[in-house]
Amino acid sequence: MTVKRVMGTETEYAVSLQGSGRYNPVQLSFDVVGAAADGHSDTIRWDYRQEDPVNDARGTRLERAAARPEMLTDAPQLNITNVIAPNGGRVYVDHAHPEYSAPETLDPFEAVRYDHAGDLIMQAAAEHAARQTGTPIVLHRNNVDGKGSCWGTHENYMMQRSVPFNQVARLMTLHFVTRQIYAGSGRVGIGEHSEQAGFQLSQRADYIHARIGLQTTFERPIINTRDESHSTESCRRLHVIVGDANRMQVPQVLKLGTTSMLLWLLEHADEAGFDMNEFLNGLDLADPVEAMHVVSHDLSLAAELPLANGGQATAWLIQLKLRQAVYQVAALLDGTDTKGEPAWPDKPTVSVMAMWGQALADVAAIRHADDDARLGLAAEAGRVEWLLKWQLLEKVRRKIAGGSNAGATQDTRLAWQDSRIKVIDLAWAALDPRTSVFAKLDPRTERVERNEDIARAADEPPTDTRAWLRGELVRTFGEEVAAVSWSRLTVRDPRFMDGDDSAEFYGNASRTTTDPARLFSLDISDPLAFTKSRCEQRLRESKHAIDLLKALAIGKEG
Amino acid sequence: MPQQFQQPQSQSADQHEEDDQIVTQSADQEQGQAQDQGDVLDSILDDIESTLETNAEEYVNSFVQKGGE
Repeated sequence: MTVKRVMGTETEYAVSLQGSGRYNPVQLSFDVVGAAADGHSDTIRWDYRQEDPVNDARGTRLERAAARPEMLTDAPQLNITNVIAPNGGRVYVDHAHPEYSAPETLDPFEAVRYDHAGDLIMQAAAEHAARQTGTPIVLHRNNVDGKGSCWGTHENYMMQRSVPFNQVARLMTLHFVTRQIYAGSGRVGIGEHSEQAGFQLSQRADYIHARIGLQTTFERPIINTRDESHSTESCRRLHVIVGDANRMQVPQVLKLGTTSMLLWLLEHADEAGFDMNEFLNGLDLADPVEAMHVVSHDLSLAAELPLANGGQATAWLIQLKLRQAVYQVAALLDGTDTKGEPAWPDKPTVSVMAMWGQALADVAAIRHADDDARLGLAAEAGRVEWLLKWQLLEKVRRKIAGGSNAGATQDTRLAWQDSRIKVIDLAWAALDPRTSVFAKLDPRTERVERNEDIARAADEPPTDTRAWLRGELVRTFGEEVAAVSWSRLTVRDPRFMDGDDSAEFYGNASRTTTDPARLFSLDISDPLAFTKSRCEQRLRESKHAIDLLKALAIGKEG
Repeated sequence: MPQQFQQPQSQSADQHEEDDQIVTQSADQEQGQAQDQGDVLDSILDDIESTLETNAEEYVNSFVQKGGE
């Protein structure tokens, strides 16, 4: 009953030229990613052979000919750029956005630390690219441009494949629709093109149009079924695409922590005699996609969502029931302490469960406050990102609307379309701390990770997953590393390295021109088998990358 | 367990207290709790006023992206 599991985030950043409407975001993305590379690692290719974007978690495969070209992420253009970050993460161009995939981590706090480390890596890359190109390249950490485009912030969780996927989809649908009330980062505008004036809880909700599916770039689903585990056969990777890019740390820990606890619930419900199907029968939403939009648009936090069984419930009540189910199964399996609290096994779990309770208390407090009272909520605004953003914007809106505090009338509502409002929403997300509106409020928000630890996480891989081996291999033997992926490392035999052969290692790893006999690959599918404690000694004893991987390969068999 | 895993403990009624949890709120924020939230927001708005007035329209209009994921 722990919140700990292998998890990690992926963040796509918006890239633009400050003050200019004329730029090519694809080219800018290449500029930024190229600037993230150093001479030590810029010849290492990403190994796409382990990717399988057409494998569906529901047990089927999509015909490649039927897939849209952008779904075939394992057949990239030849000029795609990938950089292995010093912390074992990946910086690359994804369509028209520079993206940072954090290294594999073991709990939500570590995941948030490595996610924010990515902001430092990407901001440094953007500044480097701006100097190299002589253009004002800037990054934003958000998900929408207010003009129809949307890009992603993804979460990944390793989980037991033995849980029926249908149950995963049902429980996660409930969670993803309702967690917006404390996890949303807030957005100005309603509708994909901000057709209506207003403010909503979530950046992503209006772009979700399907219950379930393999795709991520059109008709985006609540449940993404891409089944590509990057792990061993007993596990699947739940790829979550509905989340917002958060600037605040608390909502991010909540997003990762509550989702991990609910996956634990799915993995242990049978063992505890908890009837998951009956639980879900009582809560399944009648129309999850509609509910996703309703919850995001409902600043009253009181909207009753129709359930499939004919009943109704608020998002808050559904969250309460999800949290109660975790408590119930934890108490059944491991008993409780003298205060009636389940015997949570570690600090991260204690903290996540407490923070989940606090989040629901915060939302209840917000719900029962009118707009004037909401403007004065200080503690809650330090934890709920959409509330803090709303407070700042509501102040401006009232000024624009001539001091009127009535939010209901059409005229005052139209003030939400004023460019002075929109610019704060956008500048909130600016990654550069010198121009970011969020950076000014950041010191007033609750923190779970210290800045010095985040800075260190930009340079050092996590010690407790295979990311340690990936990061240290590249740091120590960068020139000898030919290709890297989440689950495989390939190095060159130094006896056959003949000077400048970097050109042939550029591009798609599946079409390598190097004689395979000169390469050595290590399968690192098990995310927990190549940690610092298991590899450090062998790294110290190895003269070349190939010595290290061969020693680890033998160690694995033994 | 490293220190950095510890985070602010909640204040809600339905939480039990963990004596060994460490509150890591910054000094700045401790001040903020005592200070009126409206004043805090006003001072931030004063700080960014020039941005709002001078190039808001241009900044917002020039921010055009392509879809992702």
